[in-house]
Formats: sequence, structure tokens, C-alpha cells
Amino acid sequence: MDPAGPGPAREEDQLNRCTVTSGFFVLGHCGRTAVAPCAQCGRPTCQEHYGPDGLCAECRAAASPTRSPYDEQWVRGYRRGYYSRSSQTYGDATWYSGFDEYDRGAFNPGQGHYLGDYDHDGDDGFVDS
Amino acid sequence: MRFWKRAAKRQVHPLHMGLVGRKQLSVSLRPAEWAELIDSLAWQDAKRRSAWAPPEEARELLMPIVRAVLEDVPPDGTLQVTTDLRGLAPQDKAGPRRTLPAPPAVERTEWYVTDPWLRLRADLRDGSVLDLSVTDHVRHRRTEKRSRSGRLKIKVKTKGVARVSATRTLPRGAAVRRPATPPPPFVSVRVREGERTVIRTDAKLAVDAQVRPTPERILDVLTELFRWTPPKAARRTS
Ligand SMILES: [Zn+2]
Ligand SMILES: [Zn+2]
Repeated sequence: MDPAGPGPAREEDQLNRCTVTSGFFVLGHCGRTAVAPCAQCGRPTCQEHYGPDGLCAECRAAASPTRSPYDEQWVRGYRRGYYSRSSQTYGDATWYSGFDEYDRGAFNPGQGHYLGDYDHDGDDGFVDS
Repeated sequence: MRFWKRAAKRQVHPLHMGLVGRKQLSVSLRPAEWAELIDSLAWQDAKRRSAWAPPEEARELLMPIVRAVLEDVPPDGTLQVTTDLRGLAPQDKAGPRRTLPAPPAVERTEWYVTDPWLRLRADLRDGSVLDLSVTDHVRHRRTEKRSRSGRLKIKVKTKGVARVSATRTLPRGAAVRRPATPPPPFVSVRVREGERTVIRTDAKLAVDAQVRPTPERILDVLTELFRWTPPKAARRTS
């Protein structure tokens, strides 16, 4: 074990990166330098995605969903609902779980209840069945 | 007073003007440029009454697709969109009319309207290129009937399909994996493996003069293109 080696340094570097989900079909994580953890889900969040309410952009979009696609936040709320509905359209539970794991894999889900609150469509029960 | 003056100075984006005046838009922009255009549209859309209010179709049909695709375009990539939101009424979209057999005192004509209302090409941040086209083909049947009292009754019935075609050209050497389940019956898929593998989907969606395909249905046709390349374990950065 060499604490100065490239392995641990990389890991530490990753911990300081914003993990807000980006992309729609090609999923990614923001990756900017994090400034604080989200008060709700705990994920490291960058300056741009961290709001005065202490929430990350994902949690903020979930808390106040918007119906107008002109709104910059619209796509965040829509994306989760879309993956849920299109999984059903395709009869492909892995389509949703792939997204969900991606989104959730970015932080420790034990630190918050981000997923439960997010699903304002209430129609993704098929994931458990 | 000061606030009012400052607000009045703000200008409508030139491309925004075209979308309002002609209900058409043909552009190739980077995400930051799209943001400026969308910002201008959003600003006028939020007003209750405005001469520059964008057409409703821009918000309901175009914007959901543009927003979703833009998420996948890197800052130095472009999203090219050619759209015509005028609908089926413009005469330049109608084919020739032909007379159908009909009983006496009835006149029946038929014509088709072809409306290629959306073409899109995007450079995606995984190095693939996305192409999408949506064309509505709608049959019109017009019946003119003169009653014995001499009154003229006219009825137009419409029925048609929206053809949605999409391709995703993968980056050189990228592999695909057949998804565990087939796509839904309304989507067909073909994969041409090669140096740059191309995945193609086609769909026909029922439409008529009143009903257009929803943006979500169009995104459903795109979804198949991405099921062939599932995300790996969560990466930390894009
Ligand atoms: Zn959060
Ligand atoms: Zn961020």
C-alpha cells in the first residue's frame, strides 16, 4: 500500500467530483469539482448544480417538477419518468434498472431517500416485480 | 421604471423570429447557441400575450425532443434541426387530387398530404451520430353532397401514418449487444455491423389531421438505438 500511489489518489479525486446525472440516452455524470454534498441525497455536487436550498439539481427538479420543456430543469424530471415508461413500452426492466443503477451508483443511496421522492409518476412498480 | 427600461431592451433571437413568422426553423447550432435560442423562446412563451409568442407546436412537439437530444450533445458538437410546424394545411404539401366513384349528387375526391416536419442530426458525446426524420403521410377524402333542398354538405375525413426513421452511427470499433427483449411491435430494428456499426429503427405511427405523433412516441423509436449499447457500471465522469 502506497498512499502516494496513483490508485488511492484517483479514488480521492473521484470523491470530489459532482455526480449529478447528465445525458438522456448517453448517460454520464457531471464530473466538475464538488463543493458540497446534497442535503437530501448526499451526492457530491458542484457549484453549478448546488442550489441555495442545499439540494443538488436532481433533488431540486424532483421537488418542484415543471411541465414546460422550455424550463431548463424539465429534462431532469422527464428523464426518470421516461425511462420508467419506456421500460414498460419495451417490456425491458433492464432499461430502467440500467438507468437507475447508473443514477444511484453515483452516490450512497443509504444517505438519503432520493429515489422514493423522485418518482412523482408513481408507475415504476414493475421494477420490483 | 428602471426595470422596465432594461426589460424592453432585451431582443428576440433572430431565429426565434423565423420560427414565429414562418413556423419553420433550419439550423445547425452548438449547445450554447441552442441555449440562447431556447432562452429567447422561453421568455416570450411565458408571456400571456405577445406578438413573439412561439407557436404552441414548438413547445409541445419540438422542444421535448430537442431538450432530450441536446443532453447528449457535447459542448463542441452540433445539433442540426430542420422543422416545419405549419401542419398539413399548406397547399405545397398536398399531392394531386383524384375523383373517386360516387353516386349521383355526390362528389368524392381524394389526395395525400406529405409533411416531412422534422429532420434532426446530432453529434453525441459518445462519438456516435444520431439521425432522425419524421414525416406524416395523411390521406384526405372529401365528400360533397347536395341534398334535395339544394344544401351543400362537405365532409373531409383524414387518416394516415407518421413514418419515423432513425439511425445511430456508432464510433469506429464500438461493439453492440442484442438487447434481452425485442422492441415493441411498432418499432423495427436493423443493425449493420462494420467498421462503424449502424443501428436503424423505423416505425409507423397512426395519425390524422388532428392527431400527430407525440414527442414521447418519437423518443420511443430512438430508445431502441441505445438499448444495443447498455451503459457500463457507473462511471464517475462523462
Ligand atoms: Zn440530491
Ligand atoms: Zn455538477
